[in-house]
Amino acid sequence: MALRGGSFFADKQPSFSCDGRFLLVCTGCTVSVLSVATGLRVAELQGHTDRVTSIVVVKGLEEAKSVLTHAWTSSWDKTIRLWNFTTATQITVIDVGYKVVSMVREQHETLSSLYTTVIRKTEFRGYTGRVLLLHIASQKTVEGHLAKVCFLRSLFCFAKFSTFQTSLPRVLVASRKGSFVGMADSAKVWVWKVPAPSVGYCSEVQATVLHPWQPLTVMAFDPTETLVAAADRRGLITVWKNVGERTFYSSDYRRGKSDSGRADANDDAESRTTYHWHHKEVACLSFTADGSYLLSGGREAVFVMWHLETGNQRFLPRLGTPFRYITSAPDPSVFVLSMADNSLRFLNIGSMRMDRVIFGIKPYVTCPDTLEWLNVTKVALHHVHGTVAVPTANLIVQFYDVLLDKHANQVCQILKYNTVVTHVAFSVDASVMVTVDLRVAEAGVGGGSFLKFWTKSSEHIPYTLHTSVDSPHGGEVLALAYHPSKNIAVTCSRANDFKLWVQTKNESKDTHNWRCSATGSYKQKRMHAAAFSHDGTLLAVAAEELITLWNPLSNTLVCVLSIPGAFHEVVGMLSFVPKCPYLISASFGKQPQLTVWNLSTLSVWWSYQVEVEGITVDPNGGHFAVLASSHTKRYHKGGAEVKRNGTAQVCLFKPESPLPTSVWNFKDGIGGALLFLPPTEEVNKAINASSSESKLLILNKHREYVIFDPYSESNPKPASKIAANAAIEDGKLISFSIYLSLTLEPSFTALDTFNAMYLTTNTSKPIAQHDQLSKITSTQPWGDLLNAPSHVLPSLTDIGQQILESFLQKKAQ
Amino acid sequence: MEAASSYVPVGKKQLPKSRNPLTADSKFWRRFKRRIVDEQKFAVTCVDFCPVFPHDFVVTASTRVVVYDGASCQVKKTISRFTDLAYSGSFRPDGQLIMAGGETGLIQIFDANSRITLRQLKGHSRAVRWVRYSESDKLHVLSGSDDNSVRWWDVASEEAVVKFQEHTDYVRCGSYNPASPGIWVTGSYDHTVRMWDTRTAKSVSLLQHDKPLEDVLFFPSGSLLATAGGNMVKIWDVVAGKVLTVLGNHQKTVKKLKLTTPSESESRLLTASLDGLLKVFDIEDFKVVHAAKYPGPILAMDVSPSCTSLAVGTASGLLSVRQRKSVISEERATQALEVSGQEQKEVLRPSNFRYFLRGATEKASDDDYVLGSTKRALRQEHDWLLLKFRYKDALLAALNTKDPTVVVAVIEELVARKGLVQAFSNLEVGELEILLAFLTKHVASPKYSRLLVPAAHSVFDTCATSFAASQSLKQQVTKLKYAVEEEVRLQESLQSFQGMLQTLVQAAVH
Repeated sequence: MALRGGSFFADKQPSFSCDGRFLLVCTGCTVSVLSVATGLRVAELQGHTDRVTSIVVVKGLEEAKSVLTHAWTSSWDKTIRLWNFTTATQITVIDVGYKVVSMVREQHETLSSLYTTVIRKTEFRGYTGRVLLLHIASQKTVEGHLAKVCFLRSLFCFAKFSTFQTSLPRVLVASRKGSFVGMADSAKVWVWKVPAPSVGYCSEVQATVLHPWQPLTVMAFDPTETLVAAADRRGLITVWKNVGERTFYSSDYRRGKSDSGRADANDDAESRTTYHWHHKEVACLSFTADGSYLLSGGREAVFVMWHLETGNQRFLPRLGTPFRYITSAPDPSVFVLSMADNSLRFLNIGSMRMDRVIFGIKPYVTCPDTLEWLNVTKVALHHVHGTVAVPTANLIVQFYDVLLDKHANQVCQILKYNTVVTHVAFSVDASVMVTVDLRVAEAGVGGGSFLKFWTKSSEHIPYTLHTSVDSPHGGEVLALAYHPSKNIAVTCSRANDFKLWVQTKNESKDTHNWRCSATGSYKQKRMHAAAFSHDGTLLAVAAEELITLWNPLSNTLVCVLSIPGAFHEVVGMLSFVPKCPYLISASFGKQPQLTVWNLSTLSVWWSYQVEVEGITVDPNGGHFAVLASSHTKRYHKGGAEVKRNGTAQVCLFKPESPLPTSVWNFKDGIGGALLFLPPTEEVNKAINASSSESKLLILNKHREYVIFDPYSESNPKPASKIAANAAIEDGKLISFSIYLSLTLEPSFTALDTFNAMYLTTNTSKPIAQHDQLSKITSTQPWGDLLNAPSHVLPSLTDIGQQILESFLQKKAQ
Repeated sequence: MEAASSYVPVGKKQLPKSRNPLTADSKFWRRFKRRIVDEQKFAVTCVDFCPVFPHDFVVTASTRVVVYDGASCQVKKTISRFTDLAYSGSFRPDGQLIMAGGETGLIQIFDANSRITLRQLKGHSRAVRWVRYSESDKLHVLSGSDDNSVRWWDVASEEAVVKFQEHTDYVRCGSYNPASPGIWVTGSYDHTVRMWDTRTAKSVSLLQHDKPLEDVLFFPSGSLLATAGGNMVKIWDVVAGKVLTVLGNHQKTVKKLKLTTPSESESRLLTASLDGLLKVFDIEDFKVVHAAKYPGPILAMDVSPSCTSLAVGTASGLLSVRQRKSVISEERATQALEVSGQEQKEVLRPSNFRYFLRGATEKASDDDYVLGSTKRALRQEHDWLLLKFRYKDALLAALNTKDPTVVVAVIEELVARKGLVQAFSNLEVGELEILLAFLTKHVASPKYSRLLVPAAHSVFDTCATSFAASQSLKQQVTKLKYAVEEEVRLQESLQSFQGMLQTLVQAAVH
C-alpha cells in the first residue's frame, strides 16, 4: 500500500458549497472537499481520469434541498460529471467529446445548459478552442459555436518559470445573477446573454464584444450586471459601464444618441474607466456582493480593494506570493485567495484580516537563471517529528507532515523577497537546524549566501535563530552537511573552499557560539558536494572531478579519489552507506556517472553512466536508492538545462552489487527528490505495512509525493495511484494525479536495460585500477595522462612508454 | 500564522563581534575620560599628585607652579615666585607643603594653602631639577642638581646635612626606598644609578644603566628597581645587582615611570616617553597591556594614589588630565544629592498642572494586573519612506543618519526589493555628492566593502552622465578615486609584507 499526497490547491479556481461549509478544490484528477472550519479534507471525488479543470456547484432553490450538495466538474478526459460531494458519489457522466478547459452554468434557470470552452483539435504548437453551449437535458451540444479561441503554447515558459508565472487560460465567467456569461480572450472581451432553454443554434445567442487596449488576463461581472471589469498584463484594470444595453435590451434606444464619451465607438458600452495601481500582471478580479468594490490581486502579491466611485484603494501588502484566484464565499465579507505558494487564505474584507490559512506543500524554489546549476536541498528529514523540511522562497522553511498530508509549521525569520532557502540540514537530535539562503543580487550588488544556525528553544516554537553568518565564503554556498554525532557543520562554496563550523561553549557566559574552525581547499577546485560518514570520522568533499576525504576532527586530508577517465565531469552528489564501507558519488557532465567506491580498497566498486537526480541512503544500512534518468541531461559548466518532462527511474541498489534490486518508472520524476523514511509506527500505520524496513518517499518536480515500502513483496501490484504530472498546451504546468497502476510495478524493461548496461559498461566491473588506467591512457591524448592523483597513477615505466609513444605519433603526423 | 505580515523595520546591520575583545586592562584604562586639556604656554616639566585625598595635583611649567583641585580639576592656586624656570614642584607626603627647585639652584618650600615661602634651601650652584621630601619623616629633603651633587637637607635649619658628590654628570632623578628608610637611589646623566644611605656620604652600591638616566623608581618591596634611560627601561634586582629584564618598547627616551595599583591584587608600571606614548606594563610578566598616544613628547606623568586620575604633561605645553568615569559620575551624584537636599519637597495642589499628571510614572506592584499596551513599532524616517516605496528618499534618509550600519541595511533592503538601481538613477547632483562622500569614507572598510564596492560600481554605471554636470561632483569622484587608490596601495604593501614574513617563517621552520 502506498500513500499519496502533496496536491496543488491553487491550480484551478475553487468553489464554495451553497451553505459555505465546504470548499471544493481541484487537486489533479480528483476534487477535494475541504471543510472550511477545520481546513481538513472531508471527501475526495474520484472518477475523472484526467485533470479536473473547473467546478460548478449547483445553486438550487431552497425547496430542492437534495440538489444543494451537487456539483458539476469538467475535465480533460472529455467528460463532464455531476457529483454529490457530501457522499462523494458520481451521479451523471456526460461525454462531451472534447477536452474541457472551462465550464460555467447559468444559474437561475432550470437545469438546462452549460457553457463550455473545449479544445477542438490540436495543431502544431497550438490548440484551437471553441466555446460551446451544451444542453444538459439532452446531453448534447447546441449546434455551432459561440466563439473560437486560440491557445498558444509558449514552449519556453516551462523550465525557467514556475507554474504561476505563465499565462492564465481563458476561462469562462458567469455573472452572479446568471444573465450573462463572459470570457476574456487575449484581444477582446466576449459577453453573451443567457438564451432561452429552447435555443436551437449558437448563432441565436446574443453577444457583444468589447475591445481593450492590451491583451487581457482576467475579467469579472459586477452583481448588478451593468459593469464588466477586465485586467491586462500591464496591471491596468478597465471597467466598462452598461455593457450590452444596445445589443441586449433596447435595440433602438441608444441608436440615435451620439457616441461622444465612448472610448470606442464600436463597443457596446456607455463608458470606460481605467484603474491603475498594479505594475505587474493582474491575475484575478472580483466584485464584492454589493458591487461597490472591486478586488484585484496580481503578481506583486498585493491585494487591492478599489472603491469604484471614488477610485480609493485599500491594500493588503506583504502577502509573499503571487495571486492565482479570488473566490467569493456565500458570506459576502469573506473571499478565498488562492496563492501561488499553494495556500488558500480566507480574507475578511471588512477587517482586512486573514481568518484562516490552509497551507499545502510549498512549491520548489526557483533559483535565478544565473544560478541554475546550484544543487539545492530539495527535502530534508526532521528525525524527531518525522516531518519533512521543505526549503522555499521568501526565507521560509516549511515543515510538512507527509503522513497526514498536512502543513505542520514553518520557520520564517522575516518575509524577504528575492531570497530563497537553498540548503537545510539538521543535527541528529534535531536540536540544531542549519540553513543556507541565497539573496539575489541586483545589478551585482548585495547578492550572496547567508548561513544561519537555528536552535530549538521550546516545543511550540519550531526554531529560533541563533547565529547568522553573512557571506560565509567568497562565493555562493554549494553544499551543506551536518556531522552525525557532533555539532559540526560543513559548507562548500563556489570560492573553491570548504569550511567547518563548530559549536563552541563560552565558559564565562554559558552560551554556545558557532565559529568557523577550519577551512580547506584542494588544488583550487570548486567544491560541489560534501558528506559525513555515519560514524563521523570521515568527511568527503567533492572537488570538481575528484573526491577528497578528510578527517573532520583533525582537519587533515586523508585521501583523494579520482574517477578513472572522468576529467571533465563534476561530482555533484556524495553519500556514505551506513554499516558498510561504501561511498556513492554522482557526477555530471558529458558522461554523467553513478559510482560506488569501496573505501576499504579505495577503488571503484562499480559504476553506471546515468544521470542521477537524487541519492538517498537507507539509514538501516545495506541499501540505497537513486533517482536516475537514462537520458543524458544537457550540461554546460555554469548552467544545466533541465528536461521539461521526462520519466525517471527509481532504482534500489545494494552497494555490493551493480544489479538493482528493484526499478520503478516514475513519471515526471526529473527534477524530483527521494528520501528514506525511518520505519516508525506512524509510517507503518499510514501505509498499512508492518515491516521494520525503511520506507521510501519520492517527490516529483511539483512536490506531489508517494510513500511506499520498497522492500515489500506485495509492492509489484499495488492498488494505489501514483502522483504524476503532465504539461499542457496553454503554456503552463498543471499538476494532476492519475491512476497508473503500471508505474509502480517494477519496470522489468528498465531492469533489463540495467542488466544490459552492466554487461556493456566496462567500468561497472570491480576491476583492478592498473588495467583500468592503462586502458584509459591508451585512448586519451597524452595531456590527460598525468591528470590524476599520484597514488592512482600507474607505474612510471608504463606512463613513460605512453608519453614517448604519444610524442612519436606527433612526429609521425 | 503567516498571513499579511506587518512591516518589519529596517534596523541597523548587525556585524559580527570582534574576535579580540578588549582585555580587562584595556577596558579599565579606556574608562579614563578626558577631563581637562589645558594649553600651557611652556612645556610641562613635572606633575605630582598629593598623597592625601582629594589628591590635588601640582603642575610645574615655566616659572610657575600651579595647584589643581583633585576632584574638579580646576586651578586652585598659582605660585609664581620664581625668578627663573621652576622645576620639580611636589607635595610633602602630608600635602601641607609644596616645594620646587629652580634654574637658579634655589629650592623653595611653600605653604600649600597660603603660598607663603617658608624656607629657601641655598647651596646648589646650578639648576636643581629634582627635589623630593623624605617619606619617613617630614623634616628632610633630597635634591639632585646639575652641579653633579646630591644633597640631603634638613629643612628646619635650611642646611645641607650630607652632600653626595660621586656622580660625574647632571643628577636628574631619584627614588626613595619604601622598605628601608634612609635608603635612596639617584640616577645621573653619567649612566649610573647610585644607592645612598643618608647616614654616610658614600654610595652604597652602583648600577650601570648605559644611558643617561631620566627616572628611577623603587618597587614597594624595596628589592626591585626600575630605571629609565634612553629608550630602555631596566628592571633590577637591587640585592643581587642584576638586570632582571629590559623593556625596549618605546621608540624614544623614556621620561617618567610610575607604579600604580588599579585593583587590590595587581599593580601596573606606567612608562611615558618622548615618542608620545604612555604604556602600561603588567609587572608580573612585563608585557604591555595597554598603550595610549598623546599629541607630543611626554615630559611629565603621574597617577593619583587612588588610581582615578591620570595627568600627563607634554613638551608642547599640553596638560591632559583624565579621570575614570565612575569618579565623575559619583561626583555628579554627590552634587545632585547636595542640591536635592536643599530643596523642599513640593506638595502638589489642584492649582498645579502637574497635579493632574500625577501617578503617570507609578510602578505596578506585584499583585497588580497590568494591562498590556500596544507598542507601536519604532520606525525611522527611512522606514516610512520605504513603506511608501520612495526608495531614493529612503536612501537619502539613511545617508543623513551618518551611520554606516543603517545605510548598509537600507541598501540591502533596496536590493531585496530590486529598487537600488532605481534609487541611484533618481539621485540629483547634490544628493549624489552625499552618497559619494559616504562611499569615499566607507568603501575601504572591510566590514562594508563587500556590499559597497559593487554599489560604487553601480553608482558609476548609472550616474556617470551627471558627473560631468557639476564641478563639485568631479571633486567627489576624484576623492573617491584617491580613497580607493590609497586602499589598493595599502593592500599591496600588506601583501609584500606578508610575502616577506612568509619567507622568514619558512626559514625559521626549516
